[in-house]
Amino acid sequence: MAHAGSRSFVLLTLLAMLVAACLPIPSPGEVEDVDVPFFEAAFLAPGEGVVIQGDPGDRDQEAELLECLADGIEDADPPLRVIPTQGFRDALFPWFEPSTSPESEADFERTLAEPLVQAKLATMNARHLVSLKAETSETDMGGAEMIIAGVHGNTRTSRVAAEVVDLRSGENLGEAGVTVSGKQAIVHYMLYGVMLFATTETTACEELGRDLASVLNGQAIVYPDARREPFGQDRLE
Amino acid sequence: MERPLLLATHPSISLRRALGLLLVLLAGCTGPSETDHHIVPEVAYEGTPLVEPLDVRVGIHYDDALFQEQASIHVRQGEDLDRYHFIAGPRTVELFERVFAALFRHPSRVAGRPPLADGGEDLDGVLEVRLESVSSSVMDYRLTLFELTGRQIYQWRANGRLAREIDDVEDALGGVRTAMRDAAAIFLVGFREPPQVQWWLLGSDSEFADAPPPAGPF
Repeated sequence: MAHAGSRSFVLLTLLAMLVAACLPIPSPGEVEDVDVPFFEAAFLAPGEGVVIQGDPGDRDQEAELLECLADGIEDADPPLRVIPTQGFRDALFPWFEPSTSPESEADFERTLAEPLVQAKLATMNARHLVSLKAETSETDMGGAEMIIAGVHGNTRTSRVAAEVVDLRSGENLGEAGVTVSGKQAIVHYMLYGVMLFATTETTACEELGRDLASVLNGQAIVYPDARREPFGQDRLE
Repeated sequence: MERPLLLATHPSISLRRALGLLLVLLAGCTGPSETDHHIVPEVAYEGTPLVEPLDVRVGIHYDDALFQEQASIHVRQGEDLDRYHFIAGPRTVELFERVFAALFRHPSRVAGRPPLADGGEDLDGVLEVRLESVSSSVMDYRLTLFELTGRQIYQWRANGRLAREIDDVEDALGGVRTAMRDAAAIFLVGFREPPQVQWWLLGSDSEFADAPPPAGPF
């Protein structure tokens, strides 16, 4: 028993040290720029859905970002239907894989002319393809180091953009984008520290999701001045 | 005099790397380790490709090296190195079997390149699938369509690229899966485009009959 107790104590101590080693504190950052053009053709009829895909040219784009945008759209307006990306790709294999997904309007015209593709899109009621692009950069703000303590900081800026293509016509309807930036810092004393990190990509894609939802459900068109808060009941009265 | 720690020696170090170094120092008492993992990935695609089947009888020859295909991806976490060896060959063959079953109305397996020992009179052509190269960044296949005489009609190069940033085994598995799907998709989408293939599909002599074999990729 004594052996088990001392082992638990050691494990708990190690765990406590690990937790104390670096305390991460997330910060959402601030929205710097919102660019959501009102493409009226993007309005979805009841039952129609959108598919979100990553940037075909960026194999390193994280799946979490796609989920974040999909959640952002659906949370903003639950009736909006987001078709799961992998299910869409499986159903339309081989036409929308990263290497074969159309990019130009000519590519879309060629792919959408395939009778089997047309039929499958109609069955799935997939109206738009939203291609997500994300870029993040960090600007060093410098820092200071003593013998065993120090502080270091930078500014993290993320731009998340979504290009919307009409899957009936192949027409590119426009691109919406959101830019978010936030300060990051790490302060440490020996091996213990606090890290403030900015979740700028998450904030940007959530904001973009809300804004895209307002375009897809038509509220941005009906209430153009209200696009940052399109879902308040007062807007509908 | 005590040497300054961590960030003092690397003033431009990124936050992520700094955190990583902190954790490595904490967990570093055991020293670095290197581990090999051998994994058979899942089939990259299990449905039926969305293509119109062509009414041709094609013999499929898989080069022996394809069955031995293995993609190795190294994942470094701190000072530890995990080497994942994905035994992809059998899965690649399974995937191409699905591809050919959808693309050709009458596919069958043959033992080698034409001319075939039995003449292959019940076939319109032979398609050979070879593994060109495989690395931690790309899975590269070469597919060659032959007439029964052994003359090459067309050659495709289909490659699937893996992501550059792979942090764990899930990333690596996803990368291999995507690369295999990509290669198959590139072949399926581009198969009918070359005029030499269109001529072959017509099944008659044409202006391309004496043309030299074109070089891939399309």
